[in-house]
Amino acid sequence: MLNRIKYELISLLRNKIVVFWLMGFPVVLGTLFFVAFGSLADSEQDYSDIRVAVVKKTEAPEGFDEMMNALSGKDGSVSDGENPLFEIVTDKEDTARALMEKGELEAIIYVDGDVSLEVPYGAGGIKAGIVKSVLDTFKSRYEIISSAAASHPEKLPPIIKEAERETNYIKSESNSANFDPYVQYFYNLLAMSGLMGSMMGMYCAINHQANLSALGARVEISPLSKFKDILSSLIATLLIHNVFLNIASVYLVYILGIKFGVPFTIIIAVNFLSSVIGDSLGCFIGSIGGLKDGIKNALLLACSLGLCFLSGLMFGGMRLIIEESFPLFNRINPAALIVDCFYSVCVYGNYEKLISNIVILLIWCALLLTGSMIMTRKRKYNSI
Amino acid sequence: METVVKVERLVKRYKELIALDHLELDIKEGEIFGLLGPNGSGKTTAINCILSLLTYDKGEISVFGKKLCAEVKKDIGVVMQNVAVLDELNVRENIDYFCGLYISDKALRKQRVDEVIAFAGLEGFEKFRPKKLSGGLLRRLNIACGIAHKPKLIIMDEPTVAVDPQSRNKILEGIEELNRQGATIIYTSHYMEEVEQICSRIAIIDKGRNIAEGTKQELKKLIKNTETVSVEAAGLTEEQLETAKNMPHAYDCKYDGKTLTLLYSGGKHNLTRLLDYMHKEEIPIGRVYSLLPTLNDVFLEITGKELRD
Ligand SMILES: Nc1ncnc2c1ncn2[C@@H]1O[C@H](COP(=O)(O)OP(=O)(O)O)[C@@H](O)[C@H]1O
Ligand SMILES: [Mg+2]
Repeated sequence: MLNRIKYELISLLRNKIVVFWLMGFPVVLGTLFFVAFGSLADSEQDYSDIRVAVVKKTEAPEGFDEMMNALSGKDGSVSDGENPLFEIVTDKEDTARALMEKGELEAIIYVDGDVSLEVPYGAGGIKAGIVKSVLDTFKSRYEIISSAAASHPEKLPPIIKEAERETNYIKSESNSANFDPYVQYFYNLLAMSGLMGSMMGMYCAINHQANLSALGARVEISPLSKFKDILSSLIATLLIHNVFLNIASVYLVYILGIKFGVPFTIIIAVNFLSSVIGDSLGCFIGSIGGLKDGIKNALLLACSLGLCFLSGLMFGGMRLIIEESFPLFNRINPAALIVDCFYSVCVYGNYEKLISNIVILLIWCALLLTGSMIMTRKRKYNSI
Repeated sequence: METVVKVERLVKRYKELIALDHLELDIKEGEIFGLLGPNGSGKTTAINCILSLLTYDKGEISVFGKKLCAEVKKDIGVVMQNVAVLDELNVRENIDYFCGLYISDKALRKQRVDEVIAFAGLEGFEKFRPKKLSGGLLRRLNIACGIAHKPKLIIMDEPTVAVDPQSRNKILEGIEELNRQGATIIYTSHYMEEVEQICSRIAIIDKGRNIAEGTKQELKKLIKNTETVSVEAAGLTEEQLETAKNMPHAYDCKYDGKTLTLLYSGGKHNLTRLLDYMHKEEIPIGRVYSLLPTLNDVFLEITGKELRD
């Protein structure tokens, strides 16, 4: 088995296409992004004084006003020299909409029994994202608080304290995060490199299946067990993929100096996840019988680029547009999930979100790998 | 002698098409067994069934008296019809890779790889990648990958297709050498000359059916034809042709205005008798051939069509 892994590694490393797409491409594209955004990114971004409107149609839920007051500095909690997170511009819907159209407003918060949010179409994201995160946190806490109040009133104080702490945390994180709005393109770049690895995953499947290639047939007539066969190939692929991704990341972070805003260990971890998801995707599509290799390749390219497009690789606002019109898709699009892993740490400092993203990604991997297994399990074929 | 591969009443369909129709094979230890048939006759399908790559509809297959399992696979070496090597690995690495599927001991493997490189005449090309090899060398690499682990049974599916004559001879000699070293060999081909040259026993198949089986002498006895005589002689008269046709032992006569071809069944001195007659008639003659029957004649006589298309 070690022998196999060794040769799988050698053949991957010598495969120019693999090396280009997995290492060269992110480096080249990363450099292009860097050059293109370089000047823009230099200007310091300030994430305080986010202009919002609060339109109340009903009485606000308990605690909402207090939170908004705290975050907009109306309760005097913000010391001098420090800007509050929000600036509440108006409470009139018409004024708010007019302002938003002119681009002078980041978000409208509606209070209508529930609390909901409207952001400008195609919003650049970070500021609107901050508002949304604040509201989400409030809502989830609110549910916990109100249900706790009903059943276990004695647990209420610590929960409220926790919620307050978290609100402050978001605020401080958002305020201090040295966040470059263009970094999302680099997040996407890494997500794409992860998904691009699906091409290697595809060959894992194709080269080990008698009905898919002569090489597969040749290996299947040997005494080696199929499980060991595919496993060794997957290990080699994942290994190479991670090495490449991390080299690309080192290049982006330490050579180009792009501020990902997350610890490098997180980048390594997310890279690992995206390599697993990419390879599983490739393995899955590669396992489909009756398709030509070229078609599978095209399918994979379309898949990885398509998913990355929808998560904002080419146009940063895409993710938010989807978030507004079809949020579920952002919850399941692997590329968006990978990007969101970075986001949740960098922008919101929210490790819970990170973990939920990771869980969804792992579910994806499990589904794809199970699917591939089902398709490849059979050792005898009707026709090859 | 012990049976190595036994195939009984094997039926394989691809949807409507019946690729194997109650095929029977019985391959004994120490043989070079030839599976001869035209393209599309079902040779590869039969091999894939024996190797358990394909499902089949009916029949029984056993290898070394057992159903195919990992244990049995260890003793089989396969050279597939399509070259299956890794493009990114060089010659030595490819052989080591495939040998590694069978032998995990590193030292032993190195020895085997060295042996097979010498055997296949690949010295000097060890660092070459498959793309840089000529067709013949690539085939030899494919063979080396299949036999490096010294299997007891070697199955070769048309290993000489698209190979230059020099490489082909080298391959055929190699196969005989492997057989001398003790391996049982199944060799499929649609080239009857190759099969005649090296195989100790031959099964001829067509449309998935056995049509004849035996040593080449046995096969040739199956048919009427024992000798084919051709004489270049222009402008024979009807009368002369009639006499030629009625020569003793001749059963068929063809004349295209230039060459007279007579098919004989048994008898001696057939050529001399014909030439004597022509001499007497003072017919000027050009080149003269007398051919013994080939497997092609066997195939032709049994199926009514040429082996080669
Ligand atoms: N995968 C397949 N699907 C359908 N028909 C096939 C398939 N493989 C082979 N055949 C048909 O089965 C017959 C036998 O093919 P094959 O075993 O490859 O012949 P040979 O190896 O003797 O040239 C041919 O008619 C061929 O067209
Ligand atoms: Mg064939």
